[in-house]
Amino acid sequence: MTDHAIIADGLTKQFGSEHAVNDLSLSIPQGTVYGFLGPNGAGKTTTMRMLIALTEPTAGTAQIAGVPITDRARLTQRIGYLPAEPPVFDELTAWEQLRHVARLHGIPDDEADSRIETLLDRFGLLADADKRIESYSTGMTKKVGIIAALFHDPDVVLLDEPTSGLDPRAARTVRDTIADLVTREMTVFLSTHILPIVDELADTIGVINDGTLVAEAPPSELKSQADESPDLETAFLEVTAERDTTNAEQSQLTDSGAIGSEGEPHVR
Amino acid sequence: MSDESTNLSEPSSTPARTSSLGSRQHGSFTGVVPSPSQSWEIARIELLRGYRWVRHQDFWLVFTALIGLMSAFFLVQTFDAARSVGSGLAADEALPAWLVTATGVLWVFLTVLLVGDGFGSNGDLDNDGQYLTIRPAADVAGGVLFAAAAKFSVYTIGLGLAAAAGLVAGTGSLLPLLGITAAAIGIPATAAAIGYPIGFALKGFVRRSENLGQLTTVFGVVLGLTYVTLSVTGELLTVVERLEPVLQSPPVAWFGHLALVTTPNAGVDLTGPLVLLGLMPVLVIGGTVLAVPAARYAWLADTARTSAEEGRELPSAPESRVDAVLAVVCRAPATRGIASTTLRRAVRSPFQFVFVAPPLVAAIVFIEGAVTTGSVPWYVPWFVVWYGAWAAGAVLPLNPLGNQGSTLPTLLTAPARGRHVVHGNVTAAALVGVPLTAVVALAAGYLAGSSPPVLGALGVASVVAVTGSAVVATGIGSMFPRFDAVSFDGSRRAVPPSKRAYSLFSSTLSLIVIAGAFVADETARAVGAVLLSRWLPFGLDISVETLAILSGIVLVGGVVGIAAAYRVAIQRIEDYQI
Repeated sequence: MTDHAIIADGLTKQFGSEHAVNDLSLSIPQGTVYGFLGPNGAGKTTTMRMLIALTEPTAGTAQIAGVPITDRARLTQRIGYLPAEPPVFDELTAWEQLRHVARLHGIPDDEADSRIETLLDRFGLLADADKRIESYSTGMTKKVGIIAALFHDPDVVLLDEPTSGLDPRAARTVRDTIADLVTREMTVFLSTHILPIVDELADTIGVINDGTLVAEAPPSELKSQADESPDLETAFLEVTAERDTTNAEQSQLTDSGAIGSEGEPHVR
Repeated sequence: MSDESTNLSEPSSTPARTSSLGSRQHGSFTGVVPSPSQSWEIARIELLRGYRWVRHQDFWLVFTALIGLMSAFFLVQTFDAARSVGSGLAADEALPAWLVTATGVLWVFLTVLLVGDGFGSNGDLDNDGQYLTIRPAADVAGGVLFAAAAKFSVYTIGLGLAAAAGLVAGTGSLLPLLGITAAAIGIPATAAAIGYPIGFALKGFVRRSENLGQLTTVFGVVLGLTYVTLSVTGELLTVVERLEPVLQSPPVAWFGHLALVTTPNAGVDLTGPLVLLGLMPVLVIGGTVLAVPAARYAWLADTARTSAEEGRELPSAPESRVDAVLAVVCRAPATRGIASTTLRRAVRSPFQFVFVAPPLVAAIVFIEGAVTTGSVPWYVPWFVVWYGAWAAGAVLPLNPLGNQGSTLPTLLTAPARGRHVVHGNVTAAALVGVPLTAVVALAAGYLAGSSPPVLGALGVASVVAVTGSAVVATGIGSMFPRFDAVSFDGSRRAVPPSKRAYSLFSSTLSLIVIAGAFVADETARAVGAVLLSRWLPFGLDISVETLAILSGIVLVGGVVGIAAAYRVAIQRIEDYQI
């Protein structure tokens, strides 16, 4: 395995004429948490999907744990993924759902069951493990999704909004779990809107806006760049606003014919 | 306690705050009697949502079109019967008693349906948090009831128009329109006013009961099966005959009398219709007022919780017979996982089976024929094989990607390979489909007097056709995945296969099974040769021998097709991207 768990070079995804992700390059060291921030529709989910081979990039390359994203068969053995909508079957119980995921990973039932019991207990779900997921609250369903993503001990785990819908105690459990994963040399790619979590856990924060990575730095450095006050929210708002303003200015200039199409400035 | 605090449960019962933001003035009956304008607004939205729901659900559009075709046939029959009655009346014949009985049956039928509608999810509120905090429950209940009456008036308006047109044509007078219009409006209005409060009350009662709540599905299935059995065996008419004294007596008979009271020479006593016209507003208003507490009882029920919750031990790893069987059949954990989950989901959420139910209408005809004649035609066992294979393929494997729903990313990012998904789907379909198809086909073959070689062929065909069809379905289904769910009633949803997959799979499978029947069954071959010679264009003729050879070629093509479908499915699932 290389020193970098995630390497992306010029990743681009185009839907028709629209760039969902544009020339994105990443280099994330192994055993770290990468906080991935961005406004709604900025390209976070598309980026994650490209990194785990669920969506084919229009251009660019990437490697996860040393495996090119074009080699899905090998890639699947190294990654764990939690989409924003927890991937569960409502008709199954939590235990059945997790056993299903374990089987998809080729883990024998007896080995899976002991691990399922431990994780369900850790997330406070053991007492409800024999109830159908359709009777679960949003938070409980989310927990099942998180367990399923981490269950097989992947090298790299990509979490899309892992704490949304969770109560403070459950959110704390997730934060502790992520912190614990890193001590085991797991790399976490964490996409979320909840800034304090990223502030607390991330080694590096990347901010994507309108498909482009507009800022990338450790939390303290990013905060110190904020003009108004040194906090992550201000930094995030300024970085994304800066980009929006630049786009608007560029659009005005283009409309007035002042610059050509190659005149896009790089804020990063 | 102040007035305001006593009325907290009814939001708009609080003293009206006459601000510029809108009118909040309510009458003195607020909370007891629905406000007509507010109920109409709620009903209007309910009906609009229902219309848009049907319009955007291709499955329901097809269903509606089919029902429409059947209804058109039924309406033509009604028109003919009414015209004949009208002509008879014009010729001074007596009014047939069955007309009054039929109208009574319609009222009873609608009332029972509306009890079910109120009891079911249509009697629930999708936005209770919004509605019940803006308007009193009375307005909301009134709106729901109003919408139900309007929805079910489709039956009476259609039938009423056909019957009225027939009577007008038969009698040469426009007067029948008056009575029939009054009945067409009065029947659904009173049926809703009686049916809905009962439905609401039953719902509230069942929701509060720990045991009844668990038995609702069983009751529903028993009721459905009873209805189908009565229809198939013709006993439904016997039930109607037994009920005839009630249907011919007041007050139920008054609906029929009202419908015919303005028809010339019908000789209907005016008393019943007049009393009914006076009673209808009382029934509608009384029923609506009763529906309000019944609706509150249903909507605000705390669902009963099982008492087994308390003090129970922590759950352990689940054990099931399905898993035990699959452990023997499947080697790879991933195949076992796919098969086990597919079967569990199918059993626990059986709405997927609705998509393979239409051909069963033909089965009703076969069963009815077998019951009445005591014999089974030779082709029925082959129909069973075709249906078993088609249903086994169409119900689960025909949408291997779409059936994964939100868990598709989990499948695609797991090390499970395409072959595991294909094997899992085929195993699930075959495990249920093969024994069921073989048993029913052999039983039908035995009753049809099939020879031992044909019985053997039926047994082999059941195994091969079901398994092969599952493979073909997985191949076709993986090419044309569908992810959009169809909603059955707003809360129950299932993902049907795509229309392209459905059509391609159905025609491919039909061709293979028919070819199989031609190869294995001499009678099938002879009948096929005769029919094809008749249907083929340009005067082409086909002999029994040629048909056997062509069928053999189709079967060989089918085998190659199965292999090709297997490869396609594996490749497609492994390469699939969201």
